[in-house]
Amino acid sequence: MMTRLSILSFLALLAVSWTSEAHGQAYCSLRDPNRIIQEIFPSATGFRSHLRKVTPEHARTLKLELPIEFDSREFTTHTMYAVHQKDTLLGYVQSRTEESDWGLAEIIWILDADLKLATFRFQRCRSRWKSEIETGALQQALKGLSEDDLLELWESKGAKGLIQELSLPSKSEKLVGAVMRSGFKALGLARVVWGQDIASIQESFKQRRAR
Amino acid sequence: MRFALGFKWLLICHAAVASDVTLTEETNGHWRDFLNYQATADFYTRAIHSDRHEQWGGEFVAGLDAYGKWSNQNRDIATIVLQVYAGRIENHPLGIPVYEGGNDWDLFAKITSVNFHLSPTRRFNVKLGHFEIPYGLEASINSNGTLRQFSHPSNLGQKLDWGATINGTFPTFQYEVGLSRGSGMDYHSKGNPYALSGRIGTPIDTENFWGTSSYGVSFYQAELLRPTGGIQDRWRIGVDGQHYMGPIGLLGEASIGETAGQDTVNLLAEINASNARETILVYNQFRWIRQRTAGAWDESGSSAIGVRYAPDNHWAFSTQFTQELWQLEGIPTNQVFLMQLRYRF
Repeated sequence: MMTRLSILSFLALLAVSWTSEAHGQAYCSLRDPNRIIQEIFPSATGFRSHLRKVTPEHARTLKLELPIEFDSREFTTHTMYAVHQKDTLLGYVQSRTEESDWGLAEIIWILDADLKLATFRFQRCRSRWKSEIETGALQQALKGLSEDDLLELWESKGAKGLIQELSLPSKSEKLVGAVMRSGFKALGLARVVWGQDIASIQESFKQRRAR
Repeated sequence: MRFALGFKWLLICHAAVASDVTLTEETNGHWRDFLNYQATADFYTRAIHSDRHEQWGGEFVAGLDAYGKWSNQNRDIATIVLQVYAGRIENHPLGIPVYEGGNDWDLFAKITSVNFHLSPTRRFNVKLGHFEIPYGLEASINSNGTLRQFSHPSNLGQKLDWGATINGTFPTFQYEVGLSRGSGMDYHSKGNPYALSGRIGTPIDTENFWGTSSYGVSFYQAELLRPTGGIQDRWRIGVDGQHYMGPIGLLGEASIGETAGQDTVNLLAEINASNARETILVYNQFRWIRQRTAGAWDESGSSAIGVRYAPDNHWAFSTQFTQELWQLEGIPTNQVFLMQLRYRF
C-alpha cells in the first residue's frame, strides 16, 4: 500500500510531464512493419525510425493541394522508417490508415529514395479484394509516381476509371480509392512532416558515399 | 515490491521523460537524434456491480504511457515502453490482485520494457523488464486498459511478469520466448518462482484492439508465486486464432495442461462485430474451464457481452455484462456488470 503523499507526488509529476498529443491505444501495442520491410528490402542492413507529429495544420496544408481528408484520429505521432543497405539509402516506409470495406485498412507504403511511390502492402485489411488489389495491375500503375503524377492520374481517371482501365473488380472501388488516398498522404506527409528529416538523411548518405 | 526498483526509480524515469517534453522544437534536435518518444496521460474510471455481493464498487486510475525509440544515425537500437499508473479502488466487491482488499491506493507498472534490436531488421531482439506473457490471443490484440480481456489471468495466473524475452519477426512467422520471475505485477523471489512462456504465429506486425487475422501456438510452464505466498505449478500448451469476415470477427483460444498437478482444459471463444470507422465494437465471449479436482472432472463457464465506443483519440466508453453459467465445486454463480470511461491526452 502506498502513502497518499506518494500518490499525490506521482499525480503532480504526471500533470507536468505529458505531451499534448492524443493517442487512441496504448503504446504497448505499437509495432513496426518488420515483415514487410524484410520482404520489400531483402538486402537491407538496417532501418531507423523517425517519429513526428501529424497536426491539423499539416492536414490543412495538404488539403489545399491534394484530394484528401484527414480523420481526427490521424492527428498523433507517426513513424517514417528510412531503410538502407550499408551506405546506400534504399527508401522510406510509412504506415497509413484509411477507411475501407468493413473497417480501417493499414496500408504500408514504400517510397523510393527519390520520394516516388514504389509499392504498397496491406498490413491489416478486411476487404475481400485485398489480395487482388495488392498483387494486381494497380501496383504497376502506381509504381514510380510522384505527387504530381498521382494527382494527374486521380484527376484524369479517379479510382473508378483506373479500375475500368486495369480490369479490376468494380466492387473494389472503395479499396482502390483508399489505396490512392493513402498514397497521396504518404507522399504529402513525407514532404510536410518529414521534409527536414529526409533532407538530413539524404545529405548523410551522400556524405557517406563520398567518403 | 512495487515498480521493482521502488518509487525513486519511477521518479528518475519520469524526470528523464519529462525533461525532454519542456524543450522546444528548435532546441530538442540534439535529443531527437538519439531518442524519439511520445507520451500520453491516461485516465480511466470503472464502476462494478457484483450480484452475489449485492455491492457497487469503483476503480480510479491515472497514468503515464510513454513510447520511445533509441536510435543512432543508422538504425534503431531499442524500443522503450513505460507505463506507470496510480490507482484507487473503493468498495470493490471482487478485489483486484494489484490492490490489497477492497479499498486501497497503489502505484504499479504495466508494460515497462526495453526491447534491444540485436539484428538490424528485427529478427532477433532481447526484451528486458515487465512484459506481457507471450501467449495466446493476448499476444496479437491490445487489451491494455480495456474491459475486454482474454485468458491470461484465469488460465495462466498472471498477465504481466518481470524478466526477459527473445523475440523477432521473420518473413513467415513471428516469435517470442520469455523467462520471467513468476510473481506477476510485483517482483518477488520468495520460493524461487519462475515462468517460461512462448508463442510462434503469423507475422502480423500490428497489435490493435480490433484484431487481425492470424494464428499461433503457445506454451507455458511456471511455478507461480500465488497471493497466499505459496508456489503453484502450471503448464499449458495452447492454440489461438482469429479470423475476420466483413464486419464479423471470430476468435478462439484452446489449451490443455495442469494446474497444481490437476488436468485442466481451457477454452475461450469470441464473436464480435464492428463498424467501418472502427469506433464501435460489440462482442460476446464464452469461457469454459474443465478441471480435474480430487479425481473427478469439474467445470466452470461464463458468457460476457460487451460494447466499446471510442469516437476519437481521447474518449472511450465501455460496458460489459458477465453471467457465470457454472462454477467449480458448486459455488453459486454470479453476475458482474462493469462500466468504464477512459480519457487519454
